[in-house]
Amino acid sequence: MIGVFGPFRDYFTLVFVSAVGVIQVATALSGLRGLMFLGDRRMAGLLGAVLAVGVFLWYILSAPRNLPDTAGGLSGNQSAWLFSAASAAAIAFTLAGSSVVNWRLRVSDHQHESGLDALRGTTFLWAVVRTLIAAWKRS
Amino acid sequence: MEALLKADEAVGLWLNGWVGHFPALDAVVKLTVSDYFIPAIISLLMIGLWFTGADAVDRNRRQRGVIRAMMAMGLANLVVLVINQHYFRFRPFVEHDIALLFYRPTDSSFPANPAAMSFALASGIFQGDKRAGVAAFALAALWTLSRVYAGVFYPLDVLGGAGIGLAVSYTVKWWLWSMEPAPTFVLGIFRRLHLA
Repeated sequence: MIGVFGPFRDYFTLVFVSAVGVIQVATALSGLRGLMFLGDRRMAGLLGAVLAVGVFLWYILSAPRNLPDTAGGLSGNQSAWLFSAASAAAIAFTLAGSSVVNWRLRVSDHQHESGLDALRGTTFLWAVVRTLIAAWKRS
Repeated sequence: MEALLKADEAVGLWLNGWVGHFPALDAVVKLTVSDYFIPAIISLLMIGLWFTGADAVDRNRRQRGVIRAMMAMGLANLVVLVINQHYFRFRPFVEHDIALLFYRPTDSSFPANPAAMSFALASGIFQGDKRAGVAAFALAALWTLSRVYAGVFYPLDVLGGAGIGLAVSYTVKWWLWSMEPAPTFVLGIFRRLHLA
């Protein structure tokens, strides 16, 4: 491992990339088009699976990982915090990235639905904008 | 109690005695015993559950399961920490000359923290989605059994940890139920923000 931050960086990368991949698989299965990076559900699911499996293979094969926290490994607390930070970053990246990639998805048959269901036909950004406008009009 | 601990040691040493006989199995266990591999998969399963579901009702059930799982994991960790202040059991590799497939942790062998955490997570996931829960229980069992095989825990350490994880998980379920409508309100805020 290279440098003090190696284990932190590697674990963060593992969780970030695999979480992005898992979200792609999940959104493809649920038909949440507004969160998919690719227009085709099958391709989005495949992309997610490749990302998740690929980064695990890289993590396992690139360096010895069974190390105690006294010898370059991560403690339980460190890995828990890193997992939380990396998965939050992966969710934020997916919400922002898919909003940019699918920016044309403004109008949706599902626009009156709430929660994640609204993202079946529009992006996170447009859904939030629509919700804020509706709240402003009500006030 | 003495006889139980002796029997526990005997079973643990018998399992660990297979190390070296099947190099392919040892190679797999070196992976499944890791601090990162199975815990990360179980946690990723929760992220997947959060975004899946046939409809809003189905997704809501899954998301409640994910919330219970996370809370139960934190509480199980705390329970193990408290028990460790009052009881310490040496690890198998300290008391016996065994074939170790992992590094040498310095904390108490009983109760097994990985078992408490992973079974708490699996139980929460099971409450949200049965199929995903069965997969999570299988992964938790594989992880903790690997640790016994690798010489890091005795079987009773794992059983004790799993019992704590399950008990804590159902306690959290009851507590959240008794706190209604607060959990529904919080989930509703996430839903309004299109995050749930």
